[in-house]
Amino acid sequence: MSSWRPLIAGTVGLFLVILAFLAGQLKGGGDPALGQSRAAATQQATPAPQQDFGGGPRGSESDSSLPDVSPPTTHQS
Amino acid sequence: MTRVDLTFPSMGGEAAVRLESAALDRPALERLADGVHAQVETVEAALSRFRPGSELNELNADPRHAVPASPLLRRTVAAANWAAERSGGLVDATLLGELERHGYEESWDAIRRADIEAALAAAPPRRPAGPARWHGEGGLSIDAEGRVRRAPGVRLDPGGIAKGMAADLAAAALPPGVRYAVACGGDVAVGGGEPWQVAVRSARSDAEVHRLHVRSGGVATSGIAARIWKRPDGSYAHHVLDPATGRPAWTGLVAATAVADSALEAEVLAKMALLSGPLAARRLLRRRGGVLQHDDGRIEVVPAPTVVRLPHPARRAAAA
Repeated sequence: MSSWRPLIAGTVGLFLVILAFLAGQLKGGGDPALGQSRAAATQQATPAPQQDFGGGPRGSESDSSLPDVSPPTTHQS
Repeated sequence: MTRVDLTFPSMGGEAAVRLESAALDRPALERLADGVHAQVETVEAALSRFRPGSELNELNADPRHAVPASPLLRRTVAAANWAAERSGGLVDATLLGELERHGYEESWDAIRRADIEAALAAAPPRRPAGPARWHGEGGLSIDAEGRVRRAPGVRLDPGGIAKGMAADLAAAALPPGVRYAVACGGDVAVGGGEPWQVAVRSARSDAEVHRLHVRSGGVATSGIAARIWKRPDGSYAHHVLDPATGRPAWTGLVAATAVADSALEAEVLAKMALLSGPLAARRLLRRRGGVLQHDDGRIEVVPAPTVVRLPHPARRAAAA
């Protein structure tokens, strides 16, 4: 019976250590569940390789894999 | 996989359509793209305030209290009312008189565009916008006969609502199996398959500042820098008005980009975020993510919550 006590104590201790680590992350502004680690990330603007959504007034391609080189864009209007 | 791109001038800017399909050939996709073009053109012809014969202009000029309206105009009125209700009065499509008083009476000419930095330097202290005093008193409604009823003096200016609606209506007419992105003046409806990357452009430089990943729904940006001008008295104005004051809103943000279930909802959410200022905007965009562009040039990405997709039991069994 007594051999279980160290195991239970160790498990509880490990749980508390992990909990404290996660709480520290949250307090520091990083949410481990969000992956990107910041609730709001600040970025520098980078030039777009291509502003257009297509290759002109009308364009078409046929291919087995179509690269998303000029994705749809949203902008103020 | 076949892809077709089509761009054309629309609503004072440009509309862009991208369609992809593994089942349809190029001529079929081009016909669908032409259908999208026709649908967007129909919305613009009816709802532009810069087309003399548009149904919107006829409504606004009509002296009658109740005016017969097409299904599209009724839908627009319903969308405007929904936007006002959803935003607590912040998104107000009845500020046409105020907009004209500030100098936006004619179709936008890019030559008029003033320098955003100079405008921001001269702008009053930043503060969140608020609803008009008369919000909720029923400016526009549809009666039992399908007519648009208006309080005296109320005129409709759907603005971005028309762009979001046009993108949604065109997208809804596409058949299943077509992956689509329909953009009307910055309001984008996407769907039909694998997630889309949607590039967000800088309100200052037009450079790409971020890419959002959206499987289905809408993305829209509302900003003050595209239509900003200098008034004869030397002050600056733009087209995003604070309903509480009827004056241009200076909230600390120059643009906000939102993701929602449709382009119309994204348009309304983006405008709400822009008008609410940075603090409230973060809360508003948290559900599906977005991007805020601050007065000081910072680009702030508001991430969407991480969604963990577990394999469907049936699909997992089939894979096994």
